[in-house]
Amino acid sequence: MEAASSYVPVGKKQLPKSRNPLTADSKFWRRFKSRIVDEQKFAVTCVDFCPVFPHDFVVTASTRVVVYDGASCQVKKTISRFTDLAYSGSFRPDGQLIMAGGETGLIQIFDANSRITLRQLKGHSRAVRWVRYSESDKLHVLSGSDDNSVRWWDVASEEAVVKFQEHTDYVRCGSYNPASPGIWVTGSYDHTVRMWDTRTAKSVSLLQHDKPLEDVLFFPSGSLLATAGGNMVKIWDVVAGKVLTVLGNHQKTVKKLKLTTPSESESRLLTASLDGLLKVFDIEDFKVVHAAKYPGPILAMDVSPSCTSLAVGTASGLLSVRQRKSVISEERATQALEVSGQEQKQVLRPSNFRYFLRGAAEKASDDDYVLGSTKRALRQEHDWLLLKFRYKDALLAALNTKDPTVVVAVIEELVARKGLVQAFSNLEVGELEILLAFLTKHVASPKYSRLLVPAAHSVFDTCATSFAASQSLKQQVTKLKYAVEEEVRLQESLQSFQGMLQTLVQAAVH
Amino acid sequence: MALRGGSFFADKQPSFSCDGRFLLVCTGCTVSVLSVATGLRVAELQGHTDRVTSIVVVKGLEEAKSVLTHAWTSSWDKTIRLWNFTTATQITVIDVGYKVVSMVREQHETLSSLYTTVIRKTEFRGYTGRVLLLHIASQKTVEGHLAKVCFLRSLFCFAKFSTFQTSLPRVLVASRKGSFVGMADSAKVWVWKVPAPSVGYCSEVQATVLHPWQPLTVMAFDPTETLVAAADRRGLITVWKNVGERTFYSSDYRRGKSDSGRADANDDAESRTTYHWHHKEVACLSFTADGSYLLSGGREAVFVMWHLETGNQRFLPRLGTPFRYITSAPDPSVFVLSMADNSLRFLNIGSMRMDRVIFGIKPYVTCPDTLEWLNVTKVALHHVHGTVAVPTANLIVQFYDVLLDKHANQVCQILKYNTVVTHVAFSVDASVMVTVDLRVAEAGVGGGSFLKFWTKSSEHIPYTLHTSVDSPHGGEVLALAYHPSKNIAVTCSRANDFKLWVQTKNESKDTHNWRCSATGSYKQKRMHAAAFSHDGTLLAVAAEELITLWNPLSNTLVCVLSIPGAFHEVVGMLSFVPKCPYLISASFGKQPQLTVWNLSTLSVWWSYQVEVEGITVDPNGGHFAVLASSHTKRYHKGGAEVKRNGTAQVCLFKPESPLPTSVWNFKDGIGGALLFLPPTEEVNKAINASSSESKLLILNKHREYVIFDPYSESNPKPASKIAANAAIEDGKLISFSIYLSLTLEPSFTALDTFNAMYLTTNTSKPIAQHDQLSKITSTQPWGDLLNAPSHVLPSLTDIGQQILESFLQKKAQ
Repeated sequence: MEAASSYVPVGKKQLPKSRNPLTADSKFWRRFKSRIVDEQKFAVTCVDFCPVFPHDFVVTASTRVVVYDGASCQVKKTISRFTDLAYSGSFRPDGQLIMAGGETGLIQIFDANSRITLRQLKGHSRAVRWVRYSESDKLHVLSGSDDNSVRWWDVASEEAVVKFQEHTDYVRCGSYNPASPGIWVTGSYDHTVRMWDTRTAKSVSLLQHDKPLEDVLFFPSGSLLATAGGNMVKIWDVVAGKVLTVLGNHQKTVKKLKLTTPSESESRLLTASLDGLLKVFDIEDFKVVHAAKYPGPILAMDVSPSCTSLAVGTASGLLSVRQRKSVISEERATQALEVSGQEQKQVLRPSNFRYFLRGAAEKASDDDYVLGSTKRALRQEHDWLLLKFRYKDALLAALNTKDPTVVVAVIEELVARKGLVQAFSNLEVGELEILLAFLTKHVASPKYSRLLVPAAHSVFDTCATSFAASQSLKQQVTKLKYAVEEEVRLQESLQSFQGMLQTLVQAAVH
Repeated sequence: MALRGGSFFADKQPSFSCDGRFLLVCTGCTVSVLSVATGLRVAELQGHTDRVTSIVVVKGLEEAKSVLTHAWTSSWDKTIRLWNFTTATQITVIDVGYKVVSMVREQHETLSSLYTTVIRKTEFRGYTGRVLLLHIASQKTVEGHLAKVCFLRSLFCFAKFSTFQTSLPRVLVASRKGSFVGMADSAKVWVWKVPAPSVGYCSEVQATVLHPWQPLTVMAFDPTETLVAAADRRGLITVWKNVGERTFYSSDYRRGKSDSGRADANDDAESRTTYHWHHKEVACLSFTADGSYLLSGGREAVFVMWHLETGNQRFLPRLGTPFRYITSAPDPSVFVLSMADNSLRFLNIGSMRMDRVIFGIKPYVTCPDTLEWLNVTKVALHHVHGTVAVPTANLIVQFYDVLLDKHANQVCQILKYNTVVTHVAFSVDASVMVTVDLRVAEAGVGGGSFLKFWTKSSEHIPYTLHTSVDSPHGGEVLALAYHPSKNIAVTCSRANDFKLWVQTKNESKDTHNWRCSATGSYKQKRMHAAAFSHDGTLLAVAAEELITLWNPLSNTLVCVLSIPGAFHEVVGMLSFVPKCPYLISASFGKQPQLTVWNLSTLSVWWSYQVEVEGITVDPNGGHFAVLASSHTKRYHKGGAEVKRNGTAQVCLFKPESPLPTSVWNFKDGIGGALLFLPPTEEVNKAINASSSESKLLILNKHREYVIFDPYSESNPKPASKIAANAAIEDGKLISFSIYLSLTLEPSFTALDTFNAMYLTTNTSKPIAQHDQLSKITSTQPWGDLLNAPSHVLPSLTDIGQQILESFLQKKAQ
């Protein structure tokens, strides 16, 4: 009822929320926090995550292949049995074996735990830049080499089963069709993408990309293919053999393509380029939803299958690994849960104080009738002082909180009570200094300036005589003057800038 | 049949019946008998022809209390009447011959005389009053007078109830036992001893005078008749003890002796005590039944209860509005507080709680002096429930049921002082309410408008605040309008722009947000009014002397209308007439104008030079009504008007024709408002009409209102009820022929203001006719020649010659 309503505390001034410029995707990718930034001696040419938890990853740089632990991001093992540069270090799909090509043309297969060389596939005459295990049977390997050939190896016998010779330039990339086993595509510097069936020796189809191919990638459906060559990425309908979209968002050669697994949300296409940008595309409309800048040309990039870690290697030898923070804490929480679950729940007895608090935190169910409790509103110090009509003290109490929203709310309340001028005129020298310091700090803030600029005028009108008395007050006034002058200068330059823009906009419209 | 209602309860002091079951309150020209238990009106005493000023309930012996149901009333119509208020019948009428301001009746059962304060008009700038003694038996006044009182003219301006600009008129106060009658004059306190019934001359009545330090506002006697309390404008309460001991009881002192000594020390009182807590004017004082506590209230809206022995106080703060009266009930613990927001509050001083609150229709918003030009929403139609929304002070919007004459509901976020709601608008389904409130700045700090959007989730819950926008524009918001079909609101501001606010849906959270979708301005002109057309495709915004038409959906300027020859007036009201292509505008300034535009030809259809207070359009279409004042405001540099005659005219027009179909005179109508009510069943039932036409609601400046059918031929024959309330004074239907004949009669005030500026009813005038243009240039300097929208101006070759001519004239001068 209106009659004799109780005192309503002066809360914080509610300001409109500034609109968050981040999209959902930006928010998601910004949650990746940098875990390690490693300086390698040479360019990082390949990064590959193990498909098996905890998603260890191998990094290929110079003559070494380094295995990092997926959770802690620490170096686990280093494989350095290469006489020349190593390329394309990657896991077998079960994470047991690691293989790598090399400048010499030799493909080596190691045990992931003991680092023993298990097999050596010899046959390529020049460098092998790309090699991958077959995901369907774990027995075969496809490799692409600078000798223009693509070979299909039987790992156990160390023999090339099929040799594809149709490319006319270096073969630097390839991809396995997840929908139909035995179908592969490879991309070559001869500007073509060829699709192979491992059961025949000839290519099944050919796609013309018109730029040297750096990476190709099948979509999970197997009917869409992304190819990267030059500064553009093309999305193909493989069945029809037609280009669906061309993504020309990068300035320089796109080196790496990656699809996130659709566990977290919808799948996203990540592209990494020599211009140092990592871009994320929505695969429905192929629009950029997020972009990140790295200090140097990106050569290698991979995302863990659980979409929790992102590893990027650059030409300058920088290895950057980013992990989602929540994932780290979640993991810890699950660990803690496992531990606590083992403990027996203690039965409460009347000897325990908590026995008498049972049910206090019980939530009402939907069909319960809830009686509202009369909560007394929390009163701050300035509320008590306002109740006693001590306006000056209330203003000072608000200033002491150092929270501009509280001060603004109290000033507004004083205006409503017509007590602001009285509060200002009663201020002592020291208290005036606090007020002036507050004004100096916030008078130019657009959120508060509409109130604080007239308030500052009022302070000067009522307290001008006491300024002369104190040296420190004079300094405060000078500071306030500088703050205002600075703001005026900013506004002037903004206005001249706006004037320039307006002429441009007008010219553009007509 | 017309329905009237809406009265100001708190204007005069109410009075309880002897048994305490009824409360008699003055409601304009009538006295309403309210039931204390339910708060509803049980009877109405009708008979006075002017405002009732005081009520005295006849009190009798203890055992006869429940049967005594008589009351005396006094009025400005120069009569005093005795009533039986349970049967609402008049028993006696005594013609006093003077306007009666206040009246008390001494309580000795054997005596029968009334004291009255009356006023007599004098030539000298105001009124003087006399306190007279009246014998009831002989119905004659006793020769001579008890005292002379001087009222300044300003005392009778009650327009600003809530701001207390003017002092209360002097009222007589009787002590409870009935031995004394007193009055607080501005400079002194009069105390008279009630004389024997045989007194023949007023000069025989024993009297004493007390001299306070400050001009007084109010006084009170304590129940033991030993104390006299009086309060002044500074908030100081003075209590004299043993007043009149020497004068009235000691044989040594004769009246003449005590009167001769006027010095302060010679006041006939034993001691004087002062109590000071109030820092503003005290409006009312009352003692409790045992005499140990003094109750006071004033402009601070704080009820104070003084313990007289110790001077300790108890408070009841945050009541929200200034006090007018404190009235004691037969129950010693209950007091009725009459508050300036037109409410009666039953306070139990034991528990310090309000037992019951009776709300009347709240008074108009009074803007601060610096913002007096602000055109506030006076009343808005709440489409669904047949109530009207009344914006008031302290951030309250009241919903008032005009058919039942009852307070329905109110919406109040937080009780905040120095904040008034200036504009209210509703969506068509009434699910959204938009309000603009204005906070008054202190020394230029912290003032500004706040735009608030309220939503109604269910039938029974009043509106809840949804979105609040602090300072939606740089300056104060001057106008608010709501789209007739979509959730779009428009605000116009002093900062020379208007903004469109739309409701957008937030997909992810399934909530609605209000956002500013567009902003527009025209030539940096201040925008004073806005209106949507009834199909919602057109938005009219007044930009000073121009009217701009916009497409609210694409936010594009469609057209600009300019009133020919009016360069210094400001368009302050806009309204579309549904179902026909007419736009009505009212402009203010030196030459105020009511203009009707034909939007199909974009030309002035007809116009009048008349000051318009309010416009309302019939939702059924075809008609609109205008509240026009017969005296134009005179604008100074400061912008305030000087003289206003209270009577206004209500004119009903068809937009096609400049001849009004009906004209009514409306007393106290200036500062009022008018509104068309849609013809729902309830409305028809309430005024006993059956037609399907809209009904007209007119409020006067005191928020008393009348609802009637403006189209019915028989209706404006004034029912006695309406005339009694001085609402529709001479409600004759003035037909077309009478109108013409009467315009020749300059003395007829109702119509002499309607000087037809254009008598062209059928031929429209294009705005930019060249002959008209040359007429303008001959009277205006050449600067005004170009003071029109560029698309209205003729080509440069046409006006080039005239510009050159104006240069030549300048040189010649």
